[in-house]
Amino acid sequence: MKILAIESSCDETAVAVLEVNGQNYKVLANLVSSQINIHKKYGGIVPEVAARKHVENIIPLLEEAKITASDIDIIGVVNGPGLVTSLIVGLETAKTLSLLWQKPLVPVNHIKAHIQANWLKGDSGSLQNILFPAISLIVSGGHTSLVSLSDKCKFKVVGETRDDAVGEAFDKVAKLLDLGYPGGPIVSQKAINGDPHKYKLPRPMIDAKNFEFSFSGLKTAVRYEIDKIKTIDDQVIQDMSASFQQAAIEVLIKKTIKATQKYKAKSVLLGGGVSANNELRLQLEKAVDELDGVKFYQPDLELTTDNALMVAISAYFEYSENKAKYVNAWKKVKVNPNLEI
Amino acid sequence: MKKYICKNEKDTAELAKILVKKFKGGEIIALEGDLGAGKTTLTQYIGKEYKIKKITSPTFVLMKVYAINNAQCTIKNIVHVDCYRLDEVQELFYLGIEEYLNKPDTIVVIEWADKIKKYLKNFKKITWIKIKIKKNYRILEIKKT
Ligand SMILES: Nc1ncnc2c1ncn2[C@@H]1O[C@H](COP(=O)(O)OP(=O)(O)O)[C@@H](O)[C@H]1O
Ligand SMILES: [Mg+2]
Repeated sequence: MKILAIESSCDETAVAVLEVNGQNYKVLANLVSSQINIHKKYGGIVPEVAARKHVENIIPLLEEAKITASDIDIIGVVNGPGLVTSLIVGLETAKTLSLLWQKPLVPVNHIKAHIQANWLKGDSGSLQNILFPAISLIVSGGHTSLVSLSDKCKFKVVGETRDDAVGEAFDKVAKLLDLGYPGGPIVSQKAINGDPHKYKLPRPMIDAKNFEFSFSGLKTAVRYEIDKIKTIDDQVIQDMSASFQQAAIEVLIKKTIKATQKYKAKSVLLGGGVSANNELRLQLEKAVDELDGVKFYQPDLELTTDNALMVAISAYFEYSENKAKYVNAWKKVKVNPNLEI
Repeated sequence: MKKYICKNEKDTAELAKILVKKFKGGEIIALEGDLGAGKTTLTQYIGKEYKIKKITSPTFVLMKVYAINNAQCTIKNIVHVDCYRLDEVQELFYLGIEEYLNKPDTIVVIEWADKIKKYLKNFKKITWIKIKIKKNYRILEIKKT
């Protein structure tokens, strides 16, 4: 089966074509057109600019993917969560193709797709054999959640952030340190040579009995620390970045491990934009390795940022569960900026 | 102008209670204050008064709409907007904010509202709240227009 997938929920426009035959898969196209340079100018995402760029990008990407109706079997598209104006561009394009080509349309949840990216490893091969139950830690600019999976498409949120998402906290700390956009990657870059124990920062909710997170207090604590320091030189920036990153990571890891134990998970899956963070990958892998009989999965680096390949695999899984549901779905599917898991 | 000192979150919760008591619907709460000042926290306490438990930062999606499930209450929605990542006023238009501002059954709370001060001049019933962050407390300056 060949899947055409489209993703336009935030600031990347992406198109992918994936072929799946039984357990084997092959990536036929995986294209991303990032707007990061445009948004750098503004220091953030501008919804209307983003939407306009999606419109400009999407047709060239589809042309570049070199697909025709006879090449594909189903179309997958993200319908939420994300920016409403951006989501509409991808969904309307997908609906049009679905009608024109008479192919089933599968709406995909962006967050679930981030989790399901873990079934892919490299450009071709066989789908990962992930054992259930599994626990997934989703970390991005808009989300921080622990999700339990009893099967590929059966998700249950077990904990979420109460305030800021962890990626948002990285971005805001970057702003406090005057580091520019996109803040998260710059903070982790600066952290490499910093001392993670230089500044005493809180680990919010680390010992709470639930699986909820809170990062607004950590952000505010960084602010207090910065206010105390006379000159913010590069050493301060490095140490503060490292101390903040360590505090955030420790909370994420401790809660993930606790959830893994409580739900007797056999697999731990990392996902979302912040999963590109090297320290998080290393430290979480180490912590999971210490548990008996639990396997750790993290997405390929190019699948941590928004992409359409994860949308393709997600559409494939969802479609395989209930084919009839998607035959004329183009008539009813709507965008939902606040779509939940 | 009124000034409130909030020494801790409990004080902020009290202030939210005072604000909510006066709401009749259609109000706009325009929040100003630096990162970590407590804009989202205040919004959460406003939400709590209406039994909305899970208000999270709208920075990423720019706008979140929460329904109030209470037949006795004439206010039906809380809309939580965040202008932190916005650059131009007209961007808000694309998010459909216009539908909600001054709508009789809706309260709109806007973080980083100072970024859209001019645009907000087109609307009434605005309460400006400027949060200043001090070492051990917050000062909240409240001004109605
Ligand atoms: N008096 C207070 N009022 C509100 N928040 C407070 C107060 N004192 C401490 N805080 C803390 O400050 C932080 C404010 O963060 P947040 O509400 O996310 O700020 P903002 O949305 O303005 O960036 C929270 O962690 C909160 O617990
Ligand atoms: Mg906030």
